[in-house]
Amino acid sequence: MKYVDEFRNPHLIAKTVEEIRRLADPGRRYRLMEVCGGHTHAIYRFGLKDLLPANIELIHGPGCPVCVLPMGRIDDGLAIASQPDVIFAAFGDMMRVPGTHGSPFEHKARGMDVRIVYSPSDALKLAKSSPGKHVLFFAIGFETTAPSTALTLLRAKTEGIRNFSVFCNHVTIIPAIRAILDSPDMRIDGFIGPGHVSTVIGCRPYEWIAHKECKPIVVSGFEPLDLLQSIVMILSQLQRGEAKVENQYKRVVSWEGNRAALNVLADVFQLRSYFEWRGLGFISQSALCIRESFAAWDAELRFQIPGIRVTDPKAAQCGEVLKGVLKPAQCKLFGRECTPENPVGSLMVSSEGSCAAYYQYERRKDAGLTKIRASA
Amino acid sequence: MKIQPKLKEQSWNFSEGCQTCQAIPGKIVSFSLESADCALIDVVGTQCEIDVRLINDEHPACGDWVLVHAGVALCKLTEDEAFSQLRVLGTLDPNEGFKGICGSGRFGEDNPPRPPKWESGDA
Repeated sequence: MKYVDEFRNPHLIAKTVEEIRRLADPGRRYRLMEVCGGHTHAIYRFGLKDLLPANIELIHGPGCPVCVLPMGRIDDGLAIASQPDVIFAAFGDMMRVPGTHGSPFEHKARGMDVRIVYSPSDALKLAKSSPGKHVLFFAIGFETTAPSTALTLLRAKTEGIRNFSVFCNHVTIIPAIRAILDSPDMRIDGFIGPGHVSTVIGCRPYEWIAHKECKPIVVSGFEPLDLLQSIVMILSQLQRGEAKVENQYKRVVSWEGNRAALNVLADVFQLRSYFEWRGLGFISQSALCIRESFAAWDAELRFQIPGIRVTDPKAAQCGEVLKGVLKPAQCKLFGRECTPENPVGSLMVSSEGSCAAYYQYERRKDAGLTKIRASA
Repeated sequence: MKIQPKLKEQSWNFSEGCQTCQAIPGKIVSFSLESADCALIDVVGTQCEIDVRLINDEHPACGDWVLVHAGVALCKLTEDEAFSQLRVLGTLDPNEGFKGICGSGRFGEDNPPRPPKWESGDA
């Protein structure tokens, strides 16, 4: 049997689901949060929710950086880019995220110089090849993309490239998990830990979740069997009354993480005292800003930033969905005013936002059920 | 030695799909003559330059698979793990990101990933 096929072997999956049913106490309700947006998408894509007993609920966490970015920050980035001779460069997934006066793509249609880049270093190359312009890189992401931004800033400094700056929106995952655990309307029994973030930070930073909050956390891979095995590991801990950090994704994630990446992050960034997260509000020490030694490449210091806090459209309930209080389809705008083609909230924009994933995979199923019920 | 990867007519557009959350596996094709930290990778037909200096393990070689995030390799992968991740990624964004990889369609049970073909035998 090929290794890649094992993760989707129906027999192994059936056996794992059977184990989940055996471990789940029918008299108890389990609320497990998958922190990572990639996991959310995989859960919907493979229909894993339908394999689980009804008393296991999967809550979608804040692990999609596009989804948690408040609208005010997008407005700030676009305000800088609206100045003469500024090129706005960002990852493709930022392009359709709505700001108060439209998304970066809509601004491009109105004449703003907006470019999609694959990496921050591509934005730096763009700056080198555009001497008369200033390239603003809209940096976004968790600890996964932050090392790339850090290396690019080091290169910009070494090479003395002055027509380049970074508008830093990098966030860190641990304070967000802490905010969720502190939230009074949340009751989580265990966490499916993020796979790719953990390649950088390792498993050690999660130890407080087990030791202080007494919640199991299992760092998981992205295949269907990875996720189901992680649920087995969480349920086993809960059955034994234990709470510890386990690594289901050992084939990629090491316990200590990537030391070189952590060092470069520490060299270039420092923690902000607070940062606003969509749906979660202001969370202390939850984001990165650029160190003073790189001030010449920090867009927040080089440009006047409006810094206006913008509330989400009233009808959109992104915050409740982000915290897992509401399911995507329970939002008043879901599937009507807010669709992937015309997103009102950012959870509908990113392919890993829970609303987009739900729209893509679950909506058809719901529609099918309604049709069956109607014809019955 | 110059390695010429076989290019597909249609290939993955790196600039779309969710770059902020999902890492991609790529196979190292060659290294820059200027810096051993700069490598060219192939992701099922599409090539891009990456930085490999943050890999904890020993320095990667041509033919190694690496997990790449926003142009930076974070760790090495086995070929099996790389295919596993490509298969998961192939299903992530069927409307945008992976349209056209592996020839005419995205990865799936009927269209499993195949290793890229190289004209040179050692990669």
